[in-house]
Amino acid sequence: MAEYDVIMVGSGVAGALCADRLAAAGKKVLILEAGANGIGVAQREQYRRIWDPSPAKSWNTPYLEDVGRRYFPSPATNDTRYFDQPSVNPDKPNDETTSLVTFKGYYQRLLGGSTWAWRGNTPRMLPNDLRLASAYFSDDDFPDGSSVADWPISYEDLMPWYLQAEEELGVAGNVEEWDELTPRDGVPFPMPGQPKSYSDKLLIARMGEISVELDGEQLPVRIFTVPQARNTRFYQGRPACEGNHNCIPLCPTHAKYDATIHLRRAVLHGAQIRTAAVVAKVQRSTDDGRWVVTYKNWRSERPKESSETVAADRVILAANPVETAKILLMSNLGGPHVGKYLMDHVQGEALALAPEPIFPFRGPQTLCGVDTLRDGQYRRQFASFRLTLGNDGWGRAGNPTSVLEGMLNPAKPAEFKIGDQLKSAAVDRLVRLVRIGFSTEQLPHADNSVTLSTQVDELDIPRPLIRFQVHEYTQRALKQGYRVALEIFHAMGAEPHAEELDPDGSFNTVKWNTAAHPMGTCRMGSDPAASVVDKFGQCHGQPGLYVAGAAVFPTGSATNPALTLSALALMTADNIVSQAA
Amino acid sequence: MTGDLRTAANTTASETGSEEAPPPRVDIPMRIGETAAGKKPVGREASLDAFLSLSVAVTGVDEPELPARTELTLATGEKRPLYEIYYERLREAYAPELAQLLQKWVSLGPARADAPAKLAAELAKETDAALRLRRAARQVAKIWFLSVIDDPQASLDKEKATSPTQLGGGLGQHQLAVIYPLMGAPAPGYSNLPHGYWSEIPGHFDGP
Repeated sequence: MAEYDVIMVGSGVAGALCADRLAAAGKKVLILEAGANGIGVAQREQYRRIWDPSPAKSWNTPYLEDVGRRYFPSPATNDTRYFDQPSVNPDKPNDETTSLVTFKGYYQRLLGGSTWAWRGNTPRMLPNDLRLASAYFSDDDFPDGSSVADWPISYEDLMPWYLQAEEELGVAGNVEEWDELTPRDGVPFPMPGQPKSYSDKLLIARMGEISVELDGEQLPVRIFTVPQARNTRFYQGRPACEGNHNCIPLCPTHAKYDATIHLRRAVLHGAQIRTAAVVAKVQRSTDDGRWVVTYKNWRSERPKESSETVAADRVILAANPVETAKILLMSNLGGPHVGKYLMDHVQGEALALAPEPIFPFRGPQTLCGVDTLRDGQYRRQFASFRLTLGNDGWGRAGNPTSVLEGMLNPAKPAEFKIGDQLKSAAVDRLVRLVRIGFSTEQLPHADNSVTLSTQVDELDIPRPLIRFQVHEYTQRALKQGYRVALEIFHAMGAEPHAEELDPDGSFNTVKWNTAAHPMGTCRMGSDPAASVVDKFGQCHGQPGLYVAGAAVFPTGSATNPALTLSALALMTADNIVSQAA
Repeated sequence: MTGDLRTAANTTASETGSEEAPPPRVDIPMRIGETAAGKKPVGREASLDAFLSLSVAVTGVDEPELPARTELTLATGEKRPLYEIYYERLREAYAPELAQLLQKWVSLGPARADAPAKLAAELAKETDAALRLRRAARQVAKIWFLSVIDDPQASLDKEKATSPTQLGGGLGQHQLAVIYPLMGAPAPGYSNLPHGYWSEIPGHFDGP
């Protein structure tokens, strides 16, 4: 049995950053990855060639032809057949109020993980995001029966690693916009923020200085460039963004960060990678106390029966919240809270037609957002939320294909257009589409969980059994997000598109989607009775077994998790290095 | 349907030895690469010409702006202009509908200034024949604007007219989808513009 200092399970951004830092510190690191793609330029080009002729062009189009995909299924949006998801809560089958909804989170099981297809947004959490319980619920009367808990670290504790994560990923942002909201002691971002789009600038000029009232408190609505891991100049061997408008599913120039960067560095530092390795169990050896990882190799002659093992002093599970929880559950490790408190960012969107051309579909798919509403006393009543200004028309609801198809309906002869009429009408509509998305915080609920299904996948490994609900605390925030979006539309003179709304004109909360930001399931905390890992990601009572990634988040805030989980991963790696020292 | 739509061979008075008027000539769409007795097939050329002028009429985009003559390299290594490639793709998936639309278009006199308006009037009729013409016209529009067409086996949503599945072309066609330059945008994945271009109005945008 080969032996290592550290085995890293999973190679997304958390695993890649951690592995690189540990390998650079001289650790013997092995990365186990379920997928088997490449991490070089040729792989990017191959993905592009798959994507180019495909009519679908959805977030996972480039990756659907990966060899062996049947052995490492990933859930896809609205096609979550990999997940086992009952609609009725099996614990309360007769109670309609506990009926479950479909967890729409999805992820990639590839070398580089979901960062191949992510958008690249990297804002930080706010200081109060890490102390939600004590800041707003001092009487422990948490909404909807949730289990809110403060993080065992403060924003100030995390700051040094936030700065490091921004350097590692190459984050572009404007310090003057963000230093007040997410303090950084005036330290500039590694690169200046992305240039705002023409439509963003127009909106800012039209909107002026407006504020909205949220639960009796006036909060300013300010549009800032979102910090993004997307180059605005040549940085660490990669070019500046050229506005290919293809962030999701694939940046053709590598201006957008993805974890293959740190995987390649890790290899240069001596780390090894084994692909086609789907971990089935982690256990401590009774002989020498080392950790033994058992995995199935789907490239073997008999993948289902394969069983390979490798040992290390430390194991770090960084396989995303769903898969990491599954591994711990299969291994009977981590305690009673493993798999609980699954969260995502529940989203909605508002659509409108601008009064004049604003030219979407140019540049990154989003650039700016409203983050000045993320914190306030209102969080006692409804969830934190933020807004994103789409630069992508109406997204799925309005894009070149859907607009043209609507004007070419064979079943409606009177509306069927050709020639100049078609061209003018289509272009006029497309250049005026404006979308504002709003993303809300979901509180941790023990009932929102990942457990083991009795159904198995192609390797006879249990599939994830998901239970998921969107509670009223979050639903109220969706309505607020829509209300604020309407106010912005009004300020810019845009004509809201009549979506399916409730009779009172407020957002119909069944129209939510998720951001594909799975979080929770192995939450960190100081109390072993209430959490899975400590502040460094080490499992309580299991020295040498760690969790990295968004699985350790006790709460999810309203913002993208990538930078925070990257900072935590670096903190974990540094802690391991300091222990050895 | 991909059949070779040949009719009975054309004959001439000299061949039959008869003084009777020769039977009417029918222009037959032929497969790319096919020739008749080593000569450039007139029928195919006529059909391709008709398809090109039809494409201008349906899209409203003048021929110089349509990338019709941009040559792409096929998987065989052969280079073909885009309009021939698109013609073959449409014949492959919508042969009867395309033939009917081309026939209608030719009957209107493609060179006439009022031909596009007459075609629009034909398409607006509430007849089964017009419905088939609209189906074909939709594909002609989609292939040029988007480089994709509807899967002929799939049914369209009656209200939104969305197609659950579509058929794409080969490498290089998405890049030439005409809707993007009309919007002042590069095709996704194919920006040749400098960093930050999105901050300003597109310089070449002429308006809808």
